Amino acid sequence: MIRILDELTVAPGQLAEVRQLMAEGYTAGAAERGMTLEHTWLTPPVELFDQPNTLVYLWSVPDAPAWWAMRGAAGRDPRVAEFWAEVDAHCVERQRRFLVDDPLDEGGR
Amino acid sequence: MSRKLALVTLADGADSGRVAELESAAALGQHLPGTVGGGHYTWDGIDEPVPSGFDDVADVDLVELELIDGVVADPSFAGEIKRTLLLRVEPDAPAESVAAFERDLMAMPDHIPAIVNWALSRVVGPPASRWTHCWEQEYYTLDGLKVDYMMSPHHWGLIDGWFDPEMPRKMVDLELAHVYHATDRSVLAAALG
Repeated sequence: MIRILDELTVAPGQLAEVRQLMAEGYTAGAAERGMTLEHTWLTPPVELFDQPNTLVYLWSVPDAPAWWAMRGAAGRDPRVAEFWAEVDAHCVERQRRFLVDDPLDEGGR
Repeated sequence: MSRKLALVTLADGADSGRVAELESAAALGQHLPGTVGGGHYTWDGIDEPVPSGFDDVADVDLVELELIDGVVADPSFAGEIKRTLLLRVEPDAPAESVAAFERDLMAMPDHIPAIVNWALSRVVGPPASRWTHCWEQEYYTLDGLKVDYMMSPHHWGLIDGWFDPEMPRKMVDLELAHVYHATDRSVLAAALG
């Protein structure tokens, strides 16, 4: 399993717009590209009015071939880059990270 | 010191006899299925654009390369895959990002042992070339490229961020030439030797 962590640090007063953009402009297309939305978070855990909040989206794909299928589909669709450009206009920072289980993890022991 | 490489695209309906003549006259590597954006052949060490009279060639995308760094781990490499990636870093990319990108590429062989010989070069000519970099590798097997290289987490989890239109740090144009062909000799040993 590969997890994809999007961290959108949203400018004050823009949370609703970004949530709406993600819901209406990204989630369905992401599912078509094989991404499963696992969870979303808000941090700090209350909307601030004079500082940024960060929206966190955790997605998953089953494995590396599925990752490349996702990546290839996004690369062939110019609307994906256009979407992120629109989101970025509401953000002070955005990061995407890829996560795998730590192969040396022993359950915290 | 620079060297040259060209990606050759045949004309539609090219005469098979003329193509065979070209293949015998030049060191052409015929691209294998899965190649993207680079025509039909890689011509390493090209010194003349194309022998005159070859109307069966539609395009010769020639680049002059200046080596950044490379390693020939196996000078006696006898096959079987040479892979070439030609790419264009967007012109507004910050210099420090370009340097980081180059470092990331050159770290790939440390993480992907299937890469036998490799070279990273800047494209320094011709002035009208659409490419900025050339990233070449040699592999003992096709799986070395298609599995070890492509499926490495170092590739999809780190390197691809420079190419991915969903990533904020993306700075490589989506139009690439990702080509590979069978070979029974090391192009890079000859070029870097």
